[in-house]
Amino acid sequence: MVATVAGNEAVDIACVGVTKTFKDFWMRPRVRAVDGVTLEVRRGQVYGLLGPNGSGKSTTIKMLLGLLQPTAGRIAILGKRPTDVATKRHIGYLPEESYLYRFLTGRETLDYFGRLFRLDARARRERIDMLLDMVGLEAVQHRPVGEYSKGMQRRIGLAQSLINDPQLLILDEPTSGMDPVGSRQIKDLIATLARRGKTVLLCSHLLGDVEDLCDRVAIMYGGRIRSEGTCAELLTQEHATILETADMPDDVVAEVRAVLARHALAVKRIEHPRRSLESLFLEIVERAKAEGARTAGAAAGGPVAGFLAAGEAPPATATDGPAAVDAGLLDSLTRR
Amino acid sequence: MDTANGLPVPRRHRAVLRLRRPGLWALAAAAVVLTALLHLAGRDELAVIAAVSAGLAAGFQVGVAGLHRLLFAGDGVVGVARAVIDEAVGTRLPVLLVILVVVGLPVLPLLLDPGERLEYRLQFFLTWALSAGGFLLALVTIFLGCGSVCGDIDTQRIHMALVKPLGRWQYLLGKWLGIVLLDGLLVALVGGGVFTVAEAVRRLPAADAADRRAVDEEVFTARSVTRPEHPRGDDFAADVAAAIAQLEKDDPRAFAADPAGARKRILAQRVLEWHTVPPDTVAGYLFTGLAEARGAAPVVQLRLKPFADAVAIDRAPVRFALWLNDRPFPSKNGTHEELTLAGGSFHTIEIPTSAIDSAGRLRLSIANRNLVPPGQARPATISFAPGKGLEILHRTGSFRGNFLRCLAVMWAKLAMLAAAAVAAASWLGFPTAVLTAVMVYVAAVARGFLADAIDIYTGADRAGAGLVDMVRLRATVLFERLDRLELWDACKTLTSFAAEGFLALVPSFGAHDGVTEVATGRLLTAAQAAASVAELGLAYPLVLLACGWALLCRRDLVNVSGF
Repeated sequence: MVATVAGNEAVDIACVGVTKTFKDFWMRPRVRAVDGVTLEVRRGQVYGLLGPNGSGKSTTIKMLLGLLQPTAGRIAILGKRPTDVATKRHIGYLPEESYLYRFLTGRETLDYFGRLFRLDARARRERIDMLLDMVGLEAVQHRPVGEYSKGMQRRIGLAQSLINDPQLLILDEPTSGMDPVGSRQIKDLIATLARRGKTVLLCSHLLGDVEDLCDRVAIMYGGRIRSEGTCAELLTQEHATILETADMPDDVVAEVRAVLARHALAVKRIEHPRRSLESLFLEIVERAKAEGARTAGAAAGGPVAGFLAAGEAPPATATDGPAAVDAGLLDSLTRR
Repeated sequence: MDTANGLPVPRRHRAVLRLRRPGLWALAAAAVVLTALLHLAGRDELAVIAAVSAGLAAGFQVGVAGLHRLLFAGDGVVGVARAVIDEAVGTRLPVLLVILVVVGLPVLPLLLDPGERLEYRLQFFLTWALSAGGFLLALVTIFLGCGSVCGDIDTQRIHMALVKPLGRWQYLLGKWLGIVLLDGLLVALVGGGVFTVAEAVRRLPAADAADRRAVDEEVFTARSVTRPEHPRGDDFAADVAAAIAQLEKDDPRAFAADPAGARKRILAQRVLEWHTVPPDTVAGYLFTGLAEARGAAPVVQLRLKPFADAVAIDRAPVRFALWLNDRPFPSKNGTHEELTLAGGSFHTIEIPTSAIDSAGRLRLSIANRNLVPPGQARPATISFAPGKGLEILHRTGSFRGNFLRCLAVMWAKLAMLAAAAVAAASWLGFPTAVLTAVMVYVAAVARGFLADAIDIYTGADRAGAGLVDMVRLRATVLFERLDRLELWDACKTLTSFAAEGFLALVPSFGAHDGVTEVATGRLLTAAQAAASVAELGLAYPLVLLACGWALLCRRDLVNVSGF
């Protein structure tokens, strides 16, 4: 497989001037969902795609996956066209909704998708066991997916997106419908995959999650990218400074104010930090598990599956992913 | 989960025993109990029918498990096919069909009139059971094919498949393969049920010895058909050429509009004349290739449908005398007996195979012995419908083999329909796709009738002209009507163009009919069955799936909101 390199890093996703206009029955243009999007996601990056509903995020993702054909512009994914079937061997995709066969059990669902990746029976069985344990559905693996709750369906959806140990993982609203435990697991998973050199394209409304996880972020509105850069570039406020210390007595606070005053600076806000609701929730769940409380739904889930966590090495030496070539993808796309 | 070296170690998969479709198992168990009770009560003929029900219900369960086992290995296409089978069974449509067959098949023989001859009862049962089974299976196939693909697209499940390393052609092929395999199972079940019940009906008492012989020799058999050889020598060719030249001279305009049609009409007229025996004359018909029949059975069947022309009475009697290789037949006590049969109906006369000569030839001489009907000056002419109106049938195979070949043809038709349904669904929504597939089915079943209806609608007769001739004929008629400003008629011609174009693309199921052959004990040869399977089961699906693939590749698989 041919991949591309921008500078010293391979580019896994490249879009140049991508536009998608939906037409009606009479082929009249009705909706321009994506308008001239240009972006580049490099190997090993966690890239966040943000935007309100209808901003074109999902349409962009579906073009990347070859489910939609762009009206204009060019797309390369792992150095190939989005419709290239062989490339999809290296891609995992979790859609915004879990589109699953209701009559298949959880295990049968994963087996079905494992077959589509041409995994042999033994590898399928092993990975399915690991993934079911990871997403906490081992106990309900023989129940039809149609009987699963929305959160459980999201979990099985997540498991199917990982069954091929993808080089590029595309997650569309991955925490939608998930409880905080599941959400935290997904964040842990993304962090694990990133350490292993995998590329993740994350599309989410949960800005805090994106901020925690993403190396780069693009914010879309009206089908266009309005702002793009690293979180540090986009979020750092150079005009203010925050100091965090252990609890400070009032007299020390007064001294600090005096010191700042000598430099013509004033303290705008002094307060005690608050822990996040998420950490409190997780602590309560962990405590309940430790007490042996039972639940009828999905279990809390296990560690990241072994085949996903193994060999957290830099991607440049990875042999299962695309090889690199010495040409900038954006340049080559533009030249065509 | 245990861990080793910091990595999780998978546990062995623990299979859970689940009883799938318990209703069908319950039905099978009930039928088994009923079978035992009927056997104990001495009603073995009914016990067999109950056993068929049990076998069908259990056979479906075992068959689905077998298909799972068959598709255990394999990846993309096979994976999709396996999911289709699970989905189809999950929709309960095939289960409903099996229940219908389980309940309906044993009931059908009970509806037959016990006073009717057993031969006719069996023919009725075989025809209706196989035809109704084929019809129901066709509907199941269409709904499954359209529902599976449209359902995937509507619910966006197709996204999950096509973002995997699975080409769109593989996706469609997998869908088709899954439906076709399930169809194979259902055809086998329906066929097995019909065969077993037919064997049970066969054991019922016959009306008389002739009825029993007819059951054995004309239904539960496979007979080849031999028709008389038309002597198409130089004289015949010259005669036809002269008639064509005469027509061209008499009506050059009509001839120029459709020369091929005119030629075919004249040829058909001459063949009909050859099948005609004028009053007080003797006509000879030579049947060849009967050497195999001489040793196969003591008798062969002469099947004929005579008409008494110019007699305005339905089923007017036809009186004639027969000679077999110049020996009078039948003769009783040395007297040559004349035969009198009702006109316009099929009749079967048993002929001893000893009448066939060593070269396998049988010359049938028919003398017109009609009497002068009331109000007429001379006796009526006897004629036979060309084709099936005069033929000899002789056993060349077994009923079982014939039945299996019939099922193969039925399966091939379903394979074609499955491809049509999948191809339609790759571009259209569910209701439109179903409608399109049903249209294809109706057109395939009634192609001959629809072609005639179009001819009547447009007022044109193409007389079996080929595609090119048909297009030329329609174009000529269209321009003539436009020239005369007959706009409504021109519209009708245009409509017929479209309809005939559609019909030209659809195969004729009538040309691949195995049911009539099985019900009438006629041989459906392995070559015929293989040709049907090749054409309907492979060639047509290949073309249809290629069309579906081309359409699916150009289709955006996302329903956009916001219009």
